[in-house]
Order: sequence, then structure tokens, then C-alpha cells
Amino acid sequence: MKATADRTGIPALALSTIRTMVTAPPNMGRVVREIHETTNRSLLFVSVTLAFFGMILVYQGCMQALRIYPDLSGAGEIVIKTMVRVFGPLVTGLMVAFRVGAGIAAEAGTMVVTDQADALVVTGSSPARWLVAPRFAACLIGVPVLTVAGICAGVTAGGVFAAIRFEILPRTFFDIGMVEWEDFVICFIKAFLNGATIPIVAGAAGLSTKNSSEGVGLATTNAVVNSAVAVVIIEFLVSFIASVTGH
Amino acid sequence: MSDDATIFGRSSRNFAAEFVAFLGALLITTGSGIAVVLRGRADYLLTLRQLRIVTIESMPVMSLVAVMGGFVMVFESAGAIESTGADGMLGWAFGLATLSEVAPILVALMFAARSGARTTAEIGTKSVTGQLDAMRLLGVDPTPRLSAPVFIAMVPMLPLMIALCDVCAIAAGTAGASLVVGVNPDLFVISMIEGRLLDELLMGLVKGFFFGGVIAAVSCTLGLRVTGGASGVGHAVNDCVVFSAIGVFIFDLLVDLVWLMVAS
Amino acid sequence: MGTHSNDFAAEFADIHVTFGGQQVLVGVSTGITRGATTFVVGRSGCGKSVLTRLLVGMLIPGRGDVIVNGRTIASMSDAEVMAMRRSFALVTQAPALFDSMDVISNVAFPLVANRMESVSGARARAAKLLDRFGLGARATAMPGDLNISDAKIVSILRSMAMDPECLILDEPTTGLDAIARDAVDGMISELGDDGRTTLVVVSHDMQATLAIADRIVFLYNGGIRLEGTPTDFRAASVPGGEAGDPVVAQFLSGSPDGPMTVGAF
Repeated sequence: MKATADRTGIPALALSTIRTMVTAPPNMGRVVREIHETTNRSLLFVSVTLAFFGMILVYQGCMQALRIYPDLSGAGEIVIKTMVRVFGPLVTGLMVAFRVGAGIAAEAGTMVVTDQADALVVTGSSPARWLVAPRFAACLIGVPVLTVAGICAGVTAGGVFAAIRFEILPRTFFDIGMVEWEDFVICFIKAFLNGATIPIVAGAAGLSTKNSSEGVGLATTNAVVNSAVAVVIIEFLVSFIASVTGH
Repeated sequence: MSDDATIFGRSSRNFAAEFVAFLGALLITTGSGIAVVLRGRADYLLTLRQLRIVTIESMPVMSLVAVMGGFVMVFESAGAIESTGADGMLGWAFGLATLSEVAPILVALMFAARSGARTTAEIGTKSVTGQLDAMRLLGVDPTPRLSAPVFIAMVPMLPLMIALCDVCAIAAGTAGASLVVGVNPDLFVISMIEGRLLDELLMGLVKGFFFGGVIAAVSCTLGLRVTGGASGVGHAVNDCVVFSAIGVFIFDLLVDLVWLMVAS
Repeated sequence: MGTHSNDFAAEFADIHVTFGGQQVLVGVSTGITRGATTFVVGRSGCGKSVLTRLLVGMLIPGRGDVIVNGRTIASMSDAEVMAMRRSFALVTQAPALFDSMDVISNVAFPLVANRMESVSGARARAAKLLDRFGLGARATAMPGDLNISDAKIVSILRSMAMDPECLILDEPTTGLDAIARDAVDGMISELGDDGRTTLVVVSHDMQATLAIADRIVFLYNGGIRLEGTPTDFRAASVPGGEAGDPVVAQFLSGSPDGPMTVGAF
């Protein structure tokens, strides 16, 4: 039926992409354009959602804490630590999965339905090389950048909220005393893994589009859900390993 | 696709106008959908279908995320549990907050990604293939068949599903606490109950109603406004998840704030 | 060919429509005679489909009025427009069948949805229609499995099920094979013969038009170039004849030579 049918499972696509990265790395210009597409277009979205999230985190955490212990001077430290370690990469990853995953799947799906994917294979290229690899490279850079931006937005918004609602002084809130180098490492590991996984999972979903008018819409929803689940699984695995190894 | 590049990723010129138009459409779709529901004119069979699909398609993903979330919460709070004193208590409090507040958000996001996106894709495909216009040309208003069933399915079901997922998250958290960190499960549960868990769960249900409403409104509105064929549908699905996410966060914060104002 | 009363089922009064910067219709005024079969012809893009959509309120003219059964559409409420579409039914060029239900449910749909019949009554009526036009065997097929000819016929039957007083068909035979085309042309003749149903048909098929129509409206350059009986048309197509019109002549002959060029319509 379709030449691409064998090569679009996630493991196959992952291998294919990595091989492409090593043997025939994508054109720099293309990568830069993809970085722009991914990062620029998502920056506002990620910042806004993480800002809200930061405020929610501050609010809920402080409300809970006040029931047990009246002193909130350590709140800022904990918010920052958890943002860096857990929620920054998690929420950014989810938002990127939503924003970018659907786009990748839609383009991949349209290519399948218009037979362009087969045309690529026939001319010696492959969907992995043309579609996924540039985005893979771009997300490896873009997602960590977005994660950092998101964490800053979240922490800042949280701090402002804490000052207004709980009267925590900025000086007290913005304290990175609790944050250790391993938190940053964990954060970046998660962000890189997110960046690596989302394009591959979304691309695989897009490339397995069924040829029908519902096909592209269905592929897009699968891409979004699968890459979001992948982000959550990454979060879980890294947290688990970190916890078990004593970090 | 290649708009002017600004830091906002979109030409700001059109943004405001598009946004206002979208908000307007959102209100109209919500209003007409709810009006149909209240008048009891929603198509019975299609409503049943929605109820069935929405629960079946979303529950697995939502519970998976809830379980993972429960575990993660425990891993992250493990350090706090081990240390004593102020740090420990604080960390613990934040851990509980994660469990009872953040879990509903994550779970609602997965719901938007699965059910919301699917709704937009279905309605959008019907729109671009001319079926909605065909209905209107037969003198039939699509609303009782399209958006009304979606509202009936999402608004009550999401809170119920969130409640179930809260249970999953708590179970996972308890298991994780005892297996990985070595905390006695009874202690864990007692500490949550002492933290007025019922209150939290209730707020979670209220949030669920709003989340369901937002996701229903956004997914239907975007489906009805699709232009441009199959790729337009993909684009609309993308927008659906994005706007639903923003809506979920906004309403979460709103309910938090209002709840406290009312409670005090 | 059936009784022609002089009252109009619908009228266009000084219609102006602009699409994407192009003026498609400029000052079009005409009436649709009740009980007659009116064919609207002209080159692609000349505004034929626009006219049909104006008739059922799917499009609002920039200027001018569309009058249906004595009332302007602009004065009708949304509910009234919806109700109007049960007696003034437009069948679009693309079949647009509801792909989640089978053929017989599609045909029965307007009766059930508009509560014009019970479900069983509607299905019985639909079955009769399908049998009458040779599609009885396909009653339980899904729209996705139909070929284009069958799909077009089903979409026409779907609107016919409501027994509308006016049936508007937008290019019903375009894209059909010769046998299906004949079947549909036969349907149109049959419906038009009893004088009960007003028919408005947009068509590219001049042969069928001249054979079936009671009246023909020829659109050109945003306006009505000629309207009249097939006899009037044949007269106009004689170049240099008394009623000769070079545009009509060129259109009927399909020749590239003449006043009509590729750009103009």
C-alpha cells in the first residue's frame, strides 16, 4: 500500500531520525526556521500558561501551608525549586506537545494523504529526514529555551502574586537557596527528552494517517495526546530515577 | 504560516481583531448550546453517544496522568518528608497542594487533548465537507445535534472523571509514599484528611464543571469556524487544545480566588 | 408543459453582489414563475450559484431584495428563514450527504428533523423515493461507499422528500456519466410536468436546457443577457438574425470565437 507504512512506528522513526542526524544532518537554515516556528510561536503561550501555573502553585501551596504552619518565608524557595525540578519541564512540555505536536502531525498527515510521503521515499529521502529531523534538532534547542522562559515567567508571576496576596516580600520570595545543581540537571534532562520525544511521537502519529477526510483531524488528536502522555512519562521516569538514586 | 515574526509569534495587527471575533463566537456557541439544552431540545441519541464516547476515550489517559502525577508528587516531596521542622512541613504542604489541585488541571488538559480535540475534528470535518450547510439548507439547525450534546456530555462528566482521577492519584501517592519513601499509608491518608480533603475535592468538582464548559465551548466553536479543508481541521484541533489549556488555567485560578473569598 | 400562472414564487429585485472584490451580480432583476421550470445558465463563475443561494437566504445581497412568496428575506426572522427552506429547497452541487448515517436515513432526515413525519413514516417515504429512482438496493449503504452519480441523486431525493413547493438544483448533472445524467434529466422533467412544483435549475448542459426548460435565464457580465423561452434562445443564437445576439450565439455554440473572452464572464 504505502511505502512509508513500515517506517512510521515510533521506534523505527526514532532510529531513522537519529541516523539521519548523524549521517545527513539537516540544513542549518531549515533548522533555524524551525526553531523560530517552534519557539517564537509558543513563547507567549508557554509564558502565559506558566505564569498562571506559578500563581496557582503559590496560592495553593501557601493556603495549605498556612493551615499547618504560619510562616511562609520559605515559600518562595520551595516554589522555585519545584518549578525548576518538576513543573517547569512538565507544563512546558505539555504546552509544546499541544502547540507543536498538532502542527507536525497535520503537516505529516497532509503529506501522507497527498502522497508526498511516498514521493519522498521514492526519491531517496525519507519522512524522517525531511519532516522530523529538522524539527527534532530545533526542539532539542527550542524546548529547553522555552522551559527556561516558562520557569522565569512562572516564578515571576508567582512572586508578584505572593507579594500581593500573602504579603511575602520579593526579597524573601526570590531566594534560590534551596535550589541545587542537581535540580537544574534534572530540569534540563527532562527538557531535552521532551524536545527529543515530541517531534518523533507527533511525526509518527501524523505519518500513520488513514486516507480519509477524518484522517488528518484524527492524526492530529493522536499526536497531541501521545506526545502529552510521553511528556508525563518522561517526567515520571526521571523523577523516579532521581528519587531512587538519592537526588 | 509565515506571518511577520514578532516575539508573540503572530502579527499583532490581526491578533486583537481575531481574538475578539473568537470570543464573540465562543459566547454565541455557548449561549445557543446551553439554550437548546435548557429547552430540552438536544438530540437524545446523539447525546447518549457523546456521553459514552467522552468517558471511554478520555478515562484511560486521564487516569494514567493522575497515577503518574501521584507518584511524582511523592517523589518530589520525599526530601521534605525526610527532613524535619519548618522545611519539612512546608514541603509537605506543597506536596498536598500538588496532589489535590494540580492533578485536576493535568487531568483536564488530557481531557481537552483527547475529547476536546476529537470534537473539534468531528465538527470541523462535517463543516468543511458541507454537511452543516446541507443541514441548514434543509431547514434544520445543527445546534441540537452538535454543540448541545457536547455540552451535556462534558460539563457533568468531567467533574466526575476528575473525582475518579483524584482517587487514582491519591492511591498512587499513598502507594508511592509507602513503597518508595517508606511512609506509613495510614499516616499519609490521615494527614490528607486533616488537611480538609473534602473541601478540596468539592472545589475540584466545581472546577471540573468550569473546565468541562470551557473545553466544550472552545472545541465546538473552533469546529464550527474551520476553514480551508483538511489542513484547516488540523489547525483548528491545534487551536482547540491551546485555547482550552489557557481557559483551564484561567478558570482554575478564578475558582481558587473566588472560593476563598466566599469561604472567609 | 403545465400551467403557468403569472404570479412569481420568488423575485429578485435589483440585486448587487460582490465577492472578494469582484462584482458578481449588478442590478439583476427577474422573477421565478410559479409552477414553471426555469434554467439559469451562463459561464462558470457568472453568478448562477450565487443566485440560488440568494433565493434561500444563504447569502445576503449587498443591495437589492430577494422576495419569496411575497415577503423579502431581509424581513424574515431566522426561524422563518429556516421554515422557508422546507418549501424552497436548495440542492448544492456537491452532494454533502451525512456520512454518519446510511442512505435511507439521509433521505428521511429532513422529515424526521423537522418533525414532518414519524420516524417510520419518514423511512417509508424515503424507501419509496429511492425505489422510484432505482436506488432501492442502496438504501442501507453508507454515503462513503456511493459513486458520485448515486450520491447526487440521493442528495436530490433528500430535498425532494420534503415535497417542497420550489426545488432549486445547482448543477445537478455536472460530473455525472451519461446514464445518470439522463436519469436526473428525466427526474427534472417529471417533476416539472405536473405544474405543481417550481423548479430552478443551474446547468451547463445546453442540450438538456433547451429540451426541458420552460424559461431560461442567461447571465453574462453580472447581468441578465437574455431571458425567455427556448424558442427565444434559438432565435437569438442565429447571428445576424432579427433577434440575433452574438454573445448568445457564441455561448450556445461553445465556440472560442466571439465577444466572450476567457477573462470575462
